[in-house]
Amino acid sequence: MIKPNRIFALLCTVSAITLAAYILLARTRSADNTAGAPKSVASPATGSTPPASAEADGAKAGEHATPGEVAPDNDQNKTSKQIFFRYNGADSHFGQLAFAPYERLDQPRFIENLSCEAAYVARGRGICLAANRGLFTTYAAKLFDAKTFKIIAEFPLNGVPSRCRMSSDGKLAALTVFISGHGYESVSFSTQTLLIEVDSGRIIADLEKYSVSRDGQNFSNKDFNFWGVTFTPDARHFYATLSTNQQHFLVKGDIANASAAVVHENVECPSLSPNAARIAYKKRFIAGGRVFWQLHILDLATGRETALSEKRSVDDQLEWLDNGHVLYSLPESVSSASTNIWLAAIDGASAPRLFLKKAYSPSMASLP
Amino acid sequence: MYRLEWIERRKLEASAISPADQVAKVSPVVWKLGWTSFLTDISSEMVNSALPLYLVIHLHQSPFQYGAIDGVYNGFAVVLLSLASGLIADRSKRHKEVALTGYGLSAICKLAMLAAGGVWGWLIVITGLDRIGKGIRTAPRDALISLNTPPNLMASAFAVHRTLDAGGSLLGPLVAFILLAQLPGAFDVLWVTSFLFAILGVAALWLYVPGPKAGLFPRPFLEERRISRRSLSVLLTSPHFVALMVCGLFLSVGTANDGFIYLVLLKKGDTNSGFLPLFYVATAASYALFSIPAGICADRFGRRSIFLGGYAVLGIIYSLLLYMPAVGLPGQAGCLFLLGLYYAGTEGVLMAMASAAVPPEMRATGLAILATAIAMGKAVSSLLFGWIWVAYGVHSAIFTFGAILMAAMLAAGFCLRVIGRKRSND
Repeated sequence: MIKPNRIFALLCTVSAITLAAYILLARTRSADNTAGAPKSVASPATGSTPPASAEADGAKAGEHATPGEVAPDNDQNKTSKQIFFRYNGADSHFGQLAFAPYERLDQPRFIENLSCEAAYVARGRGICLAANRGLFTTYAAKLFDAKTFKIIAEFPLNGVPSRCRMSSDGKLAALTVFISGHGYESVSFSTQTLLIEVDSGRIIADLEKYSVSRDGQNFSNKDFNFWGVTFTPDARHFYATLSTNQQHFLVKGDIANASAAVVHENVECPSLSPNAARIAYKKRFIAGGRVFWQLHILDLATGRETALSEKRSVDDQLEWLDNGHVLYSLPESVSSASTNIWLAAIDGASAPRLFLKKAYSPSMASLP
Repeated sequence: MYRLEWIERRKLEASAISPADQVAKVSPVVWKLGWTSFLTDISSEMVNSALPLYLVIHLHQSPFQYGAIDGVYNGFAVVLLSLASGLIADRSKRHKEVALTGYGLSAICKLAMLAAGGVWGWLIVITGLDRIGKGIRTAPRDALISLNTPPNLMASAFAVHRTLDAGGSLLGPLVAFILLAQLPGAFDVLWVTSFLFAILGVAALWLYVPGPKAGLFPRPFLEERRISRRSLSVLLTSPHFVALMVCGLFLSVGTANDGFIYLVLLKKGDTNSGFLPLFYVATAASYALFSIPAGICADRFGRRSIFLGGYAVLGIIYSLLLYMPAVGLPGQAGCLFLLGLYYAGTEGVLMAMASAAVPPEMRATGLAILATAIAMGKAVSSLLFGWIWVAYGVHSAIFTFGAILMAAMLAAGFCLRVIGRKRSND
């Protein structure tokens, strides 16, 4: 009979070796990714075909897309557009804000001093929700100049960043964070959604202070949570999600009056099209005790809902590429830290296609 | 004159063994069970502390889905299983093997995290199974601690175990943090590390901890199963045990969930919720620090007074939360320090008192019943606190809980004193 001490010592050694080997494996794996990242965006994009990084994905993208089928409709705007996004390939640029001209998505530039969990850029101004990773992670919002990338203003956030948006004139920003419930025990989650004046960095509103109405009646509940703001082009109004009692309403907010009104039901993370005619959003479904979201388009004039051709569950606030196409992120694989950005046409007919690899939180920023 | 004599006698008793001896006298089996829990807690707290980050930041799951996963943690099935595991351990006298099953199940769950690769349905199943593993192992393990300890050292023995246990939950988040800082996003390395710690915990239990000695149990109980059913009814009609159970239940209803206390501290101090994990660590540190002193005092000067003293500390925390004007960093640190002290004075001491009230052949079952009663009390308390908070505001909630706690303490003090007197007369 072998002594317990010997078995235990053996087990400790085996464990230590296994762990060392696994860590080594993980290190080489991230090194591989570094080598792989440039390759994945290497195929040149040409002409007016939608960005070609999709081709690198090989079979997967090929299943969905026929080249040219979903060409963007307003060609004349494209040249002036840049796409900002959070790069999330597992290499030294992980988490950094990156941007590329629409025609050359394969050649992104990284902004070394801006690592963001989520970001948005509009009209020469940007917002970056950053994590300060120490022993205990804290978060901050950084407002920056989108040409010099100098920080205009910065303030601490009260929780884990979720969404951020800016008005198209770059004067207002909105952000949502998850507060509390971050611990191990079940204390329900709540959100905080703030509106910010970009140039001063001043918080101008907390949506929970807004007076809300539904069908003309005053509507108020202790469990109100707001998230996912999208501004109207005049930057005087916005749309957002209001959740209460497990329902999710689309509300239209009036910034000057500090008020909001319910306009539709079961809409999460709305995103208003550039022509302000439609809202792209995720619609919540529950099946088998599990929540999943399907992308839909709401026509604001008629109230008609159209499902997009994307059948996977998407938990993201969409971004409009133009009035006919939307961008959204999906995890690269089920357990990956990387996400890819996909492109879908709002007609609901043509299949979605891969738009940009290892990227998250896209914003179409027209140059001022 | 009588009083002076009493003090002299106490002094004499106390000086018979020094506190250091008292700890040294705790059976090596208890220490080994403690190290098992230490390793297992490193493993499980690593996962627990990283899970929200994994789900929210890494898998881009919204916290509202995380709520669903968290809900699995408080399942009814877990309660039933822990009672069943207590009964099985007592009937078969195989406490060690039953505990091993629980520890083993949780270890396998860590490996399964790797295999699940972020698939939602599997993550829910795995966290549920992990919780079930914890439910299975707790009662037979606590029974093993008490069965290997003489009555006069009961609280010290539980204190030694809880110190190592809290030490593990202190180190777990730290290991997770170091790993993730070195290898950002490498959650698979985290699961593997956690699995290895869990395996070492299982091995420590399997290799070093003997089963309970057969000599502990009265002869007939070893053979006849029917009698164990009768002893269950004997247990449930024993005034000492029932009094402990009712007092424990009543007191736990008046105990606000840690999570709520942390939230109040965050709100009052206007602190960034990113520091919440630090609150857990600070509480665990204080718990680990005070557990052994509290256990030693309980064995020397009476478990009842230390137990009620622990709840008095909780009462102090409530009044600090109510009446402290502004909660800065020192205020928060003070409250967390006191919270650890409250745990040190109550959790292990209650198990020690219960061990004295339950005959050895029903030990695991008795401890499981007590733990279930307390879990039920906690569930009621969470619902109540949440409801009062939302409906009437946080101050009303704390005030109500202070009142419930006060009433429960008076009742418990009276009950336990009467029971204690009866026993000493017997």
